[in-house]
Amino acid sequence: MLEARIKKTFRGFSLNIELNAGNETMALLGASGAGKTMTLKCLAGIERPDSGRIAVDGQVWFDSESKICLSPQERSTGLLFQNYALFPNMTVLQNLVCGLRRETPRKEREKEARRLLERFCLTGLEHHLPSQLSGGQQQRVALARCLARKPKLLLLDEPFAALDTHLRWQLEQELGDTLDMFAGTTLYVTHDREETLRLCGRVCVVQAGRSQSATPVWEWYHQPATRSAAHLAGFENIFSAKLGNDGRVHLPDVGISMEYPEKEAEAAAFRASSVRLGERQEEFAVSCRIVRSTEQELIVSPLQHPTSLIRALPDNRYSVGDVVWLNVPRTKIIWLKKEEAACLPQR
Amino acid sequence: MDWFPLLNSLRVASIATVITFLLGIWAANGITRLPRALKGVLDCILTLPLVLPPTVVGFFLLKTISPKAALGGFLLDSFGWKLTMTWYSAIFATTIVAFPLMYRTARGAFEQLSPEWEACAATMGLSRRFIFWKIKMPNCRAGLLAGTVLSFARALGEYGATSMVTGYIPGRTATIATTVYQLWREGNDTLAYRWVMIDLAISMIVLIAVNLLEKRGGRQYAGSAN
Repeated sequence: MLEARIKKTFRGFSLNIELNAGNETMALLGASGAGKTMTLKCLAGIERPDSGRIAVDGQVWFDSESKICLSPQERSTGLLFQNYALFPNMTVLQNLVCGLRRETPRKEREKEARRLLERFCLTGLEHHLPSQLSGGQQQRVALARCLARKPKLLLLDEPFAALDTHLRWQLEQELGDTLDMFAGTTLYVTHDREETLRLCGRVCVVQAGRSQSATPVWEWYHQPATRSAAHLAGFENIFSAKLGNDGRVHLPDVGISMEYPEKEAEAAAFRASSVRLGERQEEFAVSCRIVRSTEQELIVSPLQHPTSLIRALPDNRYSVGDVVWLNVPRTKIIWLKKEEAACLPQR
Repeated sequence: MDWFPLLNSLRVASIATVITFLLGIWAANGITRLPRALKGVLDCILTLPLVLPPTVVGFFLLKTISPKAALGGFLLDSFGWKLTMTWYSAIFATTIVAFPLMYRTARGAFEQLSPEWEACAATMGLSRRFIFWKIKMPNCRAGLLAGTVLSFARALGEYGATSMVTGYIPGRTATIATTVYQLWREGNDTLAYRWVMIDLAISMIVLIAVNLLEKRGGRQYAGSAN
């Protein structure tokens, strides 16, 4: 169980994070530079927030009001960096022994380390140096080392960023199994949609240093609340919306207008797969020209707004230059609310 | 031939190297934790002996530890310690002049370490002392050794500050550097050449050692950088 409020200003950037997570795997999802890694560092105690409160399982780790700030050593976190941060001068076994509590006698620790080796399919590699391991093996060692102390909070910082794409899937399954067995809270920092969908139960989108309220993965994926959440969920088409005097909402860049769906829609999003192209005009249709056609997608542009680009699925009936009607079923349009203002540093 | 200058030089340089090794690493490790402004000022001061003419260092030293100076006079009066014009006076001079080399090389080595190792180690509950001895030091080994050898070389070659605080007393304070100068003044070229050759030989050995260490440093735990 994690409850955290973190405020921190650094180098003209300000972080304002609120997290509440149970014993689950929660994604901290955001573009690079959104402040995700800094959040992890604050939770682990490597960086000190300016103000806020961090409590895990009811135990306070940081509280600016009552001046509590536990050192990283006193907290109970397992931190997995992108590059794993294995100690290069130590063998796999020594790295693992380091991760175990020092109170236990050395013999016990070695035994425990060997159990971990077995559990993470590393038997036979105990005397290898990290530089002699493959990327996947390094990740397993790092993960084993993180979990060795049985932390209450597991912090994973883009664990697959350093791996080749073709290695990821297999390792993702392994990590998924490990996370299922882990009893505490896991925060999974990533900007990858697929990893989030496969490994996490809930999502907290972080945008420009600010956290949005956490939602279940399916909700974020199908009904994202904000522009940044929609981007991260892979909505290819996102257009600003404006409320007209006629009580209808307009997408000026596309040239569609329709009845107002709900209050405070700042933008509309729809997937490429929701776009229907045809010769027949339907309810919300715009006349478009095909501007680009690839194996992966078709890019069309409204005749009235040639600078706007709309992405659709590939369609071999049409080729570049053709003019077609573009329809988006109303139910497939997601209305996005205004992003909470990116907080600027207070001076 | 009187071998005293060689032995004295080696003795002075070795002791000075041990002191700079400890002080340099201590300063380089400590400075990373200081606030930025203080770090800049302190870094300047610690590097100063590298750019100052050694005679300026010698001048300051004399103004501090000579029997006529306040501290030097006090030490002589209360404990009978005479800190100038003895063989060990050269230790003070060479330590100060060689210090920046050790300090800067050590700092460079520490800065190249991934900060994530320290962060990770801390979350694993490892103490600062453990992190320093078992993670930082071993991973900086090549850099620290190179710094040590450089400091030794610098200490061995020190002339300006040394000659000011030790003078030239044959058989008591003479080092290779001061001997060469003295021999040249006396016009004793044969002997001067001999000392020059000895000094050249030592310097070559030291430089080769530095190069070897640097090459090995690059290979150490190869591949871990990615």
